[in-house]
Amino acid sequence: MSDTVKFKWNDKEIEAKKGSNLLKAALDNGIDVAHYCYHAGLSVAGVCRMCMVEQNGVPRPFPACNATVNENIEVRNDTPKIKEAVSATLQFHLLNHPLDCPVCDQAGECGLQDNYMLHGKYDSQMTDKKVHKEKVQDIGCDVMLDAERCILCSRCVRFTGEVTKSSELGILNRGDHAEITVLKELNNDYAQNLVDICPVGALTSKDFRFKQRVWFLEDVHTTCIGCEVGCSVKVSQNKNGAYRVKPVLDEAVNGYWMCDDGREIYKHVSSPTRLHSLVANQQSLFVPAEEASLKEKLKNKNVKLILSTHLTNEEYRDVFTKIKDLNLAARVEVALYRSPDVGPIFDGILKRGNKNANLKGAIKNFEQFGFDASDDHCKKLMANVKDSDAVLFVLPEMSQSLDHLETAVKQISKAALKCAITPNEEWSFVRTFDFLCPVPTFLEKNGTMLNYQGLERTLVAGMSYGDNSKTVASYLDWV
Amino acid sequence: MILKNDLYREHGFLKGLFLGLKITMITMLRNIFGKDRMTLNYPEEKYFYSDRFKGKHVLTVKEDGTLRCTSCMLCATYCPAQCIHIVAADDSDKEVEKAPVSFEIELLRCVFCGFCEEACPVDAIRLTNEYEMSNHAEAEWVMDHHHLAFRKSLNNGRGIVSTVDDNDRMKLRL
Repeated sequence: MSDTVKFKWNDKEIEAKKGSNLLKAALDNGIDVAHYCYHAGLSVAGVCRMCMVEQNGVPRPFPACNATVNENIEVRNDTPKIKEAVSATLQFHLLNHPLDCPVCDQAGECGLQDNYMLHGKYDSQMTDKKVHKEKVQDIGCDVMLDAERCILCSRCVRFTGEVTKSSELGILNRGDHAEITVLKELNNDYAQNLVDICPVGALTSKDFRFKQRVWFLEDVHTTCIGCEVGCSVKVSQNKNGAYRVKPVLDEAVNGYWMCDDGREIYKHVSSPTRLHSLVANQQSLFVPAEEASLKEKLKNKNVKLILSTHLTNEEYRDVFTKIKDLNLAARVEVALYRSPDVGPIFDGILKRGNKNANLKGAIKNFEQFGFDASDDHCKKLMANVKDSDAVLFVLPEMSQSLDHLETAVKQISKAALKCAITPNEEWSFVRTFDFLCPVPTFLEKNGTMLNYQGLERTLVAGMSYGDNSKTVASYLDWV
Repeated sequence: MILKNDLYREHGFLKGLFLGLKITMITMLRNIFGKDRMTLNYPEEKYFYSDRFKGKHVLTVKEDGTLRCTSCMLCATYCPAQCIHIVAADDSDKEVEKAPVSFEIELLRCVFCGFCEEACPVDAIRLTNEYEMSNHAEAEWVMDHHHLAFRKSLNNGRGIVSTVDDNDRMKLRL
């Protein structure tokens, strides 16, 4: 702590740790510095030459990303010399750029566009023909490569080398002809991060490809419910639906990255199978039903309530307080359905095998209200379902082990009344249920979850795509 | 308000009236008897507006007969009436890369401001001097790209070919 020093950047006084990265210190203090190759989560390459600065006592400009903070240094990047250097550098970056912004998915959030408005030269001085490289390359893991748009910042090469350690990417050839190449097809669980870190449109996502222009989208900063890590993410959405998920920096949990499985969590939110009202099963077809019809059937029945691990702490609390308040404890039995682990417990980077997003929070709330959250209890409850019972099954919002869930659903098929509390009717086995009761998805509710570290993660509601008028607890009113 | 007050004061009412209506009278008489009539016997006779007139949209086509539109969505972004709806998709041609699978304009919403024309980076959309638009049902006013590009009035259904900037763009190609 004692080694925090003060220095000046364009006359603005900044405090930073002595010896820390000069560019990061400036960026952390809200100073906008043009840069492409520097990424705080990766090693320093110093190849893009955009973050050039001048320092008192240093004869030549140097890149800030490769310099360290020292006491009382005076750094400037607003001098004419630096401005000219940055502008000339950008001109070189754009020499062979194909200028296909109209068809490029990065347009709107592109580093080249942003900096061109500030440092661009506008008239091309290039007289030779542009060098052409291969466009539209599918390099695996849903990543598309356009070598022409690349400015060779080498962020992706460093990412595959340092973070995933799979080293699929490399830079081939020299000079004008240097280009990013896949040495072997991408094969890692974090490949979509390449799309995020690419400052230009060279690496784009196949899943998001041409779906929407980024300026039509709004970001909601929420939490991933893909596994028990609870990565901090932003979901891009507009009134037509959710379109993509990107990680948000959270040092304590996910750092800069997230896994590819987490990129899928938006899909069920605005899918065509979302429920828009309470539906009843009529010969395997779900048709809108009156609330009264379900109310009547549920009345005075013994209810087995199976909760999923995708609910928020607040929802568990609401369910349990409702059971207490309405004196339902005699008739309602509660259990917690857990999805089985998928893959290794921890893959060494981020991903964890336990896919129960809010397992910690669920157990905490179950214990607090004196209920049994154990897996054995859930199995016992399912096995003991009688043909006079009603089952309310809160299905997990997403599942990587559908077979396991299907067996669980089959187990309760004896019950007189089977209701699934789920936001959508995507899975085929929901046809065994008599009623489907709509609830909001994770993207449509506010609340908190506890991740595997016991840290509180916040869910933030975005736009709504289905019937969100009811919560899990509100269905207990009908029991 | 009497416009030509001085004529009234000078010549009295009746003469002043005729003097004041001189131009109107001449035009009226010319219209009744003369040859270069202002009034057209529409729809038998039709008026032709200049090419700058902002009428019904047309999507131009490339020389190979496919749409020029790259579905960059700039027109849809710029459109103050939000009447342009484009669905983009991959094109099998790598040079084209992105092309619209559906391009719809809701003509009833359109205010014919011509901003789409201005926003388009590839001269794919133009406003023509076609002004005759009449339909019954509201759904008929949503024009799809088959109508916008290949309706009968455009080169007998072959569409309007545009090569604007093509040479400039190809100049730097290998």
